[in-house]
Amino acid sequence: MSPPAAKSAWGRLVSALDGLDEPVVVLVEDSRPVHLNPAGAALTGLDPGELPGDLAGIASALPGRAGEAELIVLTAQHLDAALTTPEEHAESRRQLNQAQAVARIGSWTADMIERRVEFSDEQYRLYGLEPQSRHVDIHTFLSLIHPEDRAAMAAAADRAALKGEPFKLEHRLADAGSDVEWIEARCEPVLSRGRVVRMVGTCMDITERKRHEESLQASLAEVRASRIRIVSAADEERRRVERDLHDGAQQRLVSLTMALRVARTQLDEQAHPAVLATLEEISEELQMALAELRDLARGIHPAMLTERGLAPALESLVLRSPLPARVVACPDRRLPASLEIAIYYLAAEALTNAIKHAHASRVTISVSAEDNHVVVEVCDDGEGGARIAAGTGLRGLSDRVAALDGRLSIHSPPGAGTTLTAELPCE
Amino acid sequence: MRETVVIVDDNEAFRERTRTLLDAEGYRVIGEAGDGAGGLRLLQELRPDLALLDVQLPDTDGFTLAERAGTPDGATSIIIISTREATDYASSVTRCGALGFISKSDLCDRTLREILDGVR
Repeated sequence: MSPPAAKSAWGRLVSALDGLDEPVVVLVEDSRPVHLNPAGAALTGLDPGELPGDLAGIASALPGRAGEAELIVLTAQHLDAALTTPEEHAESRRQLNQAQAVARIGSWTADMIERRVEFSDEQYRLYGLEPQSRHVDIHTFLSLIHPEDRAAMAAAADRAALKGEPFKLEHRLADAGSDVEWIEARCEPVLSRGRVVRMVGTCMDITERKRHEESLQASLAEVRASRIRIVSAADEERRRVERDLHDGAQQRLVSLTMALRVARTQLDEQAHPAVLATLEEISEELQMALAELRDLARGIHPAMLTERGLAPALESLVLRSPLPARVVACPDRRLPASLEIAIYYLAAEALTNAIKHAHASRVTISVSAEDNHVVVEVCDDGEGGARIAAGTGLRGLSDRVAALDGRLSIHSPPGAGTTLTAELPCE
Repeated sequence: MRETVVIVDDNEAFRERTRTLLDAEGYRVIGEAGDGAGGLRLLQELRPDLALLDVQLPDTDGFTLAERAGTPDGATSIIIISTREATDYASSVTRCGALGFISKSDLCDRTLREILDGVR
């Protein structure tokens, strides 16, 4: 504990204390008692060679009540003589400056008691100033910051100085001349006995990081837009196919059906029973072909949705459902096409799942338009246990909803039914 | 003699076939129109017993036309027709004041009678 150079200084202190009539105990920096003079030993009855580990142990050995016995406590700091020489100190400082310059990080300290602020060389440079070129305080600092970011910085600095709250803040420079545009400023207040005595901080040039962020945001926006375009293009294609089917093949089959009916009226039924029978067969098969084509067309695109809107389309959906299904709410007004399609497919898919997997007995569909979004809820009273997993129709729906910046969630506890909820933004 | 009929549908071939069929079944087709405006005129001038209105017309839809052409005394029975099925249109049919709906592929004397004689 006592290096040779310090031995004499320490020894002299101990001798001086031992000669006092007043009881004295010496603590070093980490609150450990290291010396009890003879007067103190006599008062406490403690053995100077075996002192307790902390001040509390000494205090508990004091006799009598408060105010009856007095013990002086001396706190000493032992400065290591092997600390840096002035030359080593300068070299260390130079290396720090160099590291800061390379990393484009500046540092500063503010002594709150002596009201003094110090900037490192790099700190000056970051803010567009020559190193150590001028005196800095909170006012000059704020003037270097972009006007729009000043209020936030001032508020953060206040909170740090008064309440000891550390902060990390991004801000722009007032002078956009240099290549430094964005800075991340950090501050750590140092407290002593509940008061902020010092603040230390670093500032880092984050201009490049910010540029990357902006570029990323732009890319993301482009991806979002293209995603919607792709979905819309696919929907438009399906609409076209359905229309072609309807206007083409379906009309033709209807026409054939009618022609067949005309043929039957032209036939002398008594005279040609075999022909009549054949015509009946043809008629039945035509009806089946027509029904199949209708189902196919409907699977490709719900024409009712485009022609007449969401409410009639959902009504049609539940009417055709083998399971009792009900639309409990649906806005009358038309919504954007992409939204109507997403909602319709959601309802159709949920209904299909309720029928095929959940063994439900009842399904309700609810569509409500709030201020700036639409909420769709489809509930069934089936088995539950459904998930939005890859390979299920719900995954594709989830993608479609995400492309519209919406959210799809599912609540399907086993044995307790399934509720599919989607929130979609809507102007 | 059976009812007088006006057919409103933009598909000419369909109108022709329907006319042939209905004539053969004893109905009298007294007018044809290919759009809503023409259809409205015919219905108001001719006042047929029966009007067959297609849902999809170039200038309007069958439901709107039915509402406009509907006579207070119910002199003209209006039936909506379409390539699509009844379930696609559900409540719209009753709301517009039409007597009923027939899918084109089902159009024949029997289905017409079902509606006209009130069986449906």
